Amino acid sequence: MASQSEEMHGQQVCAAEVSPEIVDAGAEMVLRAEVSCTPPCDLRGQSLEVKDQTGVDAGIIDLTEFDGETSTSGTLKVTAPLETGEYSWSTLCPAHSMQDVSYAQTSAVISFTVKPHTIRVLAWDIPTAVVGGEKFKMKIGIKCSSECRFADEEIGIEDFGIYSHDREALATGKISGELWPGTSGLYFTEVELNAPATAGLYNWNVKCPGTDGKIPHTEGTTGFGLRVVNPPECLVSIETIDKESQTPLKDVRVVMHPYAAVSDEYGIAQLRVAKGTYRLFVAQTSYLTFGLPVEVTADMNVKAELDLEPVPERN
Amino acid sequence: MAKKRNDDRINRKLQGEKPLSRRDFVKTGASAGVGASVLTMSGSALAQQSPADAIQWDYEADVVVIGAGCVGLPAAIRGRDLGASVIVVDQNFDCGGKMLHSGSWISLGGGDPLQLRDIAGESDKEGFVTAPPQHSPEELSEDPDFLFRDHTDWSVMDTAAQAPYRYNERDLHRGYADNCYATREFLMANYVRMGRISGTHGNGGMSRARRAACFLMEGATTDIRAGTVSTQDAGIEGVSSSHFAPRVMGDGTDTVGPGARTNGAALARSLEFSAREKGVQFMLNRHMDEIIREEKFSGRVLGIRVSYSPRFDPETGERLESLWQNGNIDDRTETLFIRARRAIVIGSGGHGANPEFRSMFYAGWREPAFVSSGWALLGPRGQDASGIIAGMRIGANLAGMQQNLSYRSTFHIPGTLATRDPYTDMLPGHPTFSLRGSTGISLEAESFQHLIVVNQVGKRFFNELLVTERYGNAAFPAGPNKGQPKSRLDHVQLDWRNASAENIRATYVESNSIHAALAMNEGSKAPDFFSGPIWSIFDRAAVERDGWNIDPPFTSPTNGFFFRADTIEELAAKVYAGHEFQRVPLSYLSETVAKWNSYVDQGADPEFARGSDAPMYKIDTPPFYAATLYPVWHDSYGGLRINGRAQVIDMQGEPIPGLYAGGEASGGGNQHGLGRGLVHGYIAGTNAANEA
Repeated sequence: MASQSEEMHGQQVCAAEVSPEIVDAGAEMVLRAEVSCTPPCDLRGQSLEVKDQTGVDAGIIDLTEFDGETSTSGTLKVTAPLETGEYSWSTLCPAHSMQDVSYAQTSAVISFTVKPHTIRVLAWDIPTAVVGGEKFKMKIGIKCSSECRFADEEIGIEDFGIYSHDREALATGKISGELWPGTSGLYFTEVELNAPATAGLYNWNVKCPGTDGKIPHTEGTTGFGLRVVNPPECLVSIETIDKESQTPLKDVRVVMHPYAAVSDEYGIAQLRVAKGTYRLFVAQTSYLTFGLPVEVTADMNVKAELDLEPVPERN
Repeated sequence: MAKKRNDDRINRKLQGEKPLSRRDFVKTGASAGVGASVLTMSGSALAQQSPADAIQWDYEADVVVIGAGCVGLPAAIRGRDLGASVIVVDQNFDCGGKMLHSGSWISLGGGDPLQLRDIAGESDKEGFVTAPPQHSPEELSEDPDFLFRDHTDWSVMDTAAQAPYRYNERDLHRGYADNCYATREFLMANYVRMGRISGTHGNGGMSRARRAACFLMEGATTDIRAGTVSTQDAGIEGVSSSHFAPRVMGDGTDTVGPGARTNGAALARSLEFSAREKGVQFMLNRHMDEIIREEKFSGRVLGIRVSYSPRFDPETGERLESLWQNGNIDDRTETLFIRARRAIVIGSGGHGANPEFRSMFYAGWREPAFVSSGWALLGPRGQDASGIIAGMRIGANLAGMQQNLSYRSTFHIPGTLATRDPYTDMLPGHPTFSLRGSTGISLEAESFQHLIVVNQVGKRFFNELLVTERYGNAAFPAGPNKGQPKSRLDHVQLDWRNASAENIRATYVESNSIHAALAMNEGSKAPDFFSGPIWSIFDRAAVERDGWNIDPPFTSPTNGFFFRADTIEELAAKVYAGHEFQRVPLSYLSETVAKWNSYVDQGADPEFARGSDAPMYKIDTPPFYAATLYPVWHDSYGGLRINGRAQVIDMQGEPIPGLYAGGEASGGGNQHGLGRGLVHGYIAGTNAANEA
């Protein structure tokens, strides 16, 4: 057995990583670490201390794997601080001895950035054409990057605002507690607004204010286009049929930008439009799109015969 | 029969002893399978690696066939018919190659038995074919000379202004034309049933109808002798494939009659059944690494070196197994040497899955993300150019490399989203489905009005309605939409008017979306100057509007080819984190979608002219989706130079004694599809078996 004076001194190097490196305040982070020794030593079962920037214990990571050179850990889930800024935590691998080799304590720095939660704002279901001065409905969705429930009091975000292109406040709305189907954190509200009186394409914005409260959030904003049209003057009826069978087609999409409609069970779609020149499109799944330049000066009927898309030649 | 060498060694191994290492001095070197290193090796390293006089053979047969696909199976059967012992090796776990998942369309001609049958208005001998002939007798009447002229017609231009027949090797195509009759007859004698002739395959000739699909009749059981396939084995549309047929077999009513099911399974499994019945032996899970010749660049070929190449189910860890096992030699030794007493036939497929090789004439195809069709079916070592490279190593010449540019399906963008292999639509049921994870969402061209397509940094690059369009298929019935002034029986062979500038101006249309997709973009960084993956971006409204099925098995939540998110920003982050070839973030995706939506508001797309051809729809209804829209390399042209006897030709223009090749392993012919490989296999097998 070697005497104390003959004990070798090895080296151990500790490395650590955090994911994500830029993290929402108060969100979950995952830490991993590894330790390499020279000469190699199996440190499975060894625990590494994790300390925050003030030296307070933040957790323990256990080394669980050894590949002959490096001992690696499992994962440690921790909660990021609520205060935004740059952070440097550390993992400590304590001193130890193994097979007459002593290893001094070592540590690794874990650097990460805490940021405010990001608010994303969405706007959809906006009618493609709204008659000037009339009401219309649309949907607003708000999502936090950490999927915060806005209904929670501690979040402190309740409202959103809708603004015109020249920043005039047009309306406000309350964020609901209802999730949009198919999403995991998008809370939606349906709003009713008044269209401007004058025809044109308007670019409006939706803003959801941020907060510096307990859980900081940045302001979120999105823009959307609103096409305001003159009152309709003419009725365009489009009859959609399968060209080969001459039978009516249901649920065919009819578009004369910015107007749109869908055909009924009789294959009839109707558009009430202002006078003008348009390009009519009639489209249905599995059919070639029917296109036709149309000049609308009075009520009119159009017959659209759709051809099936040719079956692609297989090789 | 094939004989295994070194029985004593094998017996000792079976008893648990460590086998004697008789080949320690033979360095196996890097496999050519992935192709990355071979072409960058020095000239001396390219040459044969295994000294012939030092080899101890483990197995031997009269004829050794590399590949159990549309060249290998006919070659093997033909060899057995002529009394030769035959071993077939294949890198995959099952027979069939790409033929197994094909549409089974076989264009032959020259007055072959099927053309004669249809001219006479007769049915097949079993009475399955009840559909009437699809062509007039005049459109089916020809002889080998006529076929040869069609296949070497300098004057034909396709709609991409390529000349698909001009550069075809003459001797090769003379042999082809002279053997089409015998090959069709051979197929029919080996359980292959074909329906009515219907058109001609791409680059299979302009002047006559020559193409027929293979079928089996749906029945209670799968019985190749009886010509039936069970419903389960044939597959159920939208539900399941099977081990027998990796793609659901189609409805053959039009060209055969009610109850007929068609696709490559009817051809491949029938040939495989016959091969096994006749005593062909198979060594599957065996990748050919080297062809051994007497001297480095001279003398006869002696045999091959093969390595064990099993594939495993990622879920169970079990080795994947062939559908049938009779005739299999299941030797799991890492490296084996197989002697060919008479000849070797290379039917190992093409180079579409080898980025280094396939970029020989098009640098953009070095992108490793994009695979060859049948990627899951054949595995990462399929279509790896190994047969071509092995031939080059012993002095073989190449031919036809430029012909990759003159067929529309060679490489293109299929309209199938969310899968790495967008050429095929495999459903769960085949053993390799778990390797691809998703069938894919198949869309027709018109459906692309509901989405946008972006490159690896999130920018649009082409009019989406034109992204999947392909042109340039020069075949009967000819005509302006195929690049010729006249069609059907009015088309004139060898007529200068076919190649006139006037005609080209009138018929030219080039599909450039694939070139835009392969172009390096700002996300490409040294040394990886790759184009990166391309993505289709759409929203919930598009799915509902056009009725897409985006649920598994058509997509997979885990294979990295389909993502869903609540916002566009989250979608971009998920793609970057979750797709193995997304090397850079989709930095511009949010901006691109916002810009697109503004174009929809305006009713016009100033960047790519959408709005003039179909309605435009916003992408604004959550959730949002990103699905890959991957280019695919389907079949390759250009490979080992062969003559009309399927002999591989060296740099001096001389046949390499004992070496044959065909199909995509060979070059000098621009004909698409199975006809080429089947005839080559028939010729190669005949001549290989007859070698002294």
